[in-house]
Amino acid sequence: MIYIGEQKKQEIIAAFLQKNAVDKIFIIGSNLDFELNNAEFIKFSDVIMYKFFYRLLQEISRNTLVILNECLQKTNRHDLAYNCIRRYVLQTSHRIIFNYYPIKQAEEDFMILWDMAQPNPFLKDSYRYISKFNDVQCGKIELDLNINHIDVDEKFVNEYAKEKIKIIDSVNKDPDVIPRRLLKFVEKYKNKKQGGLDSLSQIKKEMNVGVTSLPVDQYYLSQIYNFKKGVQNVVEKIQCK
Amino acid sequence: MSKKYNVNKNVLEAAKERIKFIFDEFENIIVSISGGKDSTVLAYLALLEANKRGRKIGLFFLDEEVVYQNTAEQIEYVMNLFPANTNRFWLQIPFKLTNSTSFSEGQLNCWEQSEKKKWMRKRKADNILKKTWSHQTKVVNKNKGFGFYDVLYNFELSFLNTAFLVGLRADESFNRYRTMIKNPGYKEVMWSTKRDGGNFTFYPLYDWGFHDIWKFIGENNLKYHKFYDFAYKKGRGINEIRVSSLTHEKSFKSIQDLPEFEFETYEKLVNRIQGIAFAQETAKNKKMFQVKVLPQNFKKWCDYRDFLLKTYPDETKKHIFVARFAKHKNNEYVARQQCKQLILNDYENNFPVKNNEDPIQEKIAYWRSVL
Repeated sequence: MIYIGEQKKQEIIAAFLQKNAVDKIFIIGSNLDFELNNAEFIKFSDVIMYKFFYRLLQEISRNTLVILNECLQKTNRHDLAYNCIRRYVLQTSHRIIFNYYPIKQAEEDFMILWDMAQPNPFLKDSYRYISKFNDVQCGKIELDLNINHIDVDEKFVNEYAKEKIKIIDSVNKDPDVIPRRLLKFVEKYKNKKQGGLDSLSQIKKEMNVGVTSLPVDQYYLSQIYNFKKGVQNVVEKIQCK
Repeated sequence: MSKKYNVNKNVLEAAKERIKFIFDEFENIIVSISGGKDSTVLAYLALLEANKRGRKIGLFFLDEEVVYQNTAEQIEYVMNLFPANTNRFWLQIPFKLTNSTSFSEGQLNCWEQSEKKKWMRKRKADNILKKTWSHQTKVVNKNKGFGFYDVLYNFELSFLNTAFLVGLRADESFNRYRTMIKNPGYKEVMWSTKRDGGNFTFYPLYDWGFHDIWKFIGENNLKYHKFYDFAYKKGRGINEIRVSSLTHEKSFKSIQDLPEFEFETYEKLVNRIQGIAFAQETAKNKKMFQVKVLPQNFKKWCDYRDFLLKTYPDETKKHIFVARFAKHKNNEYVARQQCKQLILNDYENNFPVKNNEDPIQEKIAYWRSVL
């Protein structure tokens, strides 16, 4: 079962444990904010490690409950971490998947969670062609965006242009560092003008962000709007059962 | 045994059923063996079925001469598992093999009579020492001459309506997966491909995993190539633990371990062809054969490519590269691949260059316009 949005996790798990004979619990991803008996927590970044991989393959049996909590952390559906997680969950049908947001960036990201709930690791259905998602429960999903408009002077606009050239010239292998570095540069300036602002690059339930007229801010802002729209579309698709 | 593709049966049961099906459908069956673990398992399963039915099957091994001594021993072992049910197709005929380790000797003439004194091993009288086909020999790549794949192709063509069994497994790579199950070859069988001459290739172990193979070998007490134990003890990853030839463009890296694993084979190989000692030292060097890092003297792959081309030692082959590169785009992405071709002396074009725009530059241009 996949649980999206606000959920009473403790109650869901307790109800599951009452119905099913479970001898051991593995929590993968982020830890839960309450205690569970006979449970072991494994960080998302550790799932690919040999020391966990082979041990878990031996220890996860049909009576093991695997809780995947906030495991949607990368956008590549074929990422090694997801492959490992699918290996783990294949050994048991007792799985509970919690993720507040159903996507990471694009709507197709929901299929990463969907894959984790499927019994067959080789089927990779396309998001577009699935018209019905069973066994997915949606709770309330918040994304409140408080935008503070911040003016920039001409001097900083020139500095921005210089910094952009400097960053582009320094790129060797990964061009995707360009917007991240540029945003960091602009956010330093924004925080000097107005403190207590959240970064535009990290999605949170409540965001208090500063936005200038500079292209990098506009780019990240549009990403947040796209994300919001994507979440809305996925939830609508899930609820059209 | 794991369960894959077939929900209700394990891969061993499925493979046995597939082999039975092939025996029911074909009179002539030939299993290709390499000395590796997969083909050993496949040959064993096919021989069990042949033994049960009182039939004979062919075991085919194309001997590249420059192989581990242990490979030859393993082949001999497989050939003698069920001798009464085995037709021995151990080919030791002359053909050309790519030698990526040398500019002065870009090809090895395996089993060439004129080089008999330097042969890695003696040939055996009960092996096949002359070509088996009567048709005009077909050669695909003129630059290369009569090569490894030409022998396979011509050997296959000397048979009619024959099932060739190959121990490829889908989980080795996506290319293999695609090759095997893209389209049905024989009737509706997805794990088969159609070949010339009414022949078919079948992949009965296509859904086996790495661990399935080892479980089967362990349970049936089969002998296996010693390189696996050696690589395992060295702590190699699953994908690196494989038995292959020693000199061609995709396998020469195994020379690095050779002195440690089979010193005598290494000694013979050093005397047999050029470039071995150098490749032994630098096969996995990122600046050398890996061609992943630019040497210090160069700032751009294009400059390095120009240097390599200018100093390419074999004037008779230089024009092949010049003509080929003239058709390519001139960017860093393409230039790195061209450097790899030059370093590996790949005039045969075994590693074709992907002639695309530089993806890094494309992405930078995108960010330049957006930001």
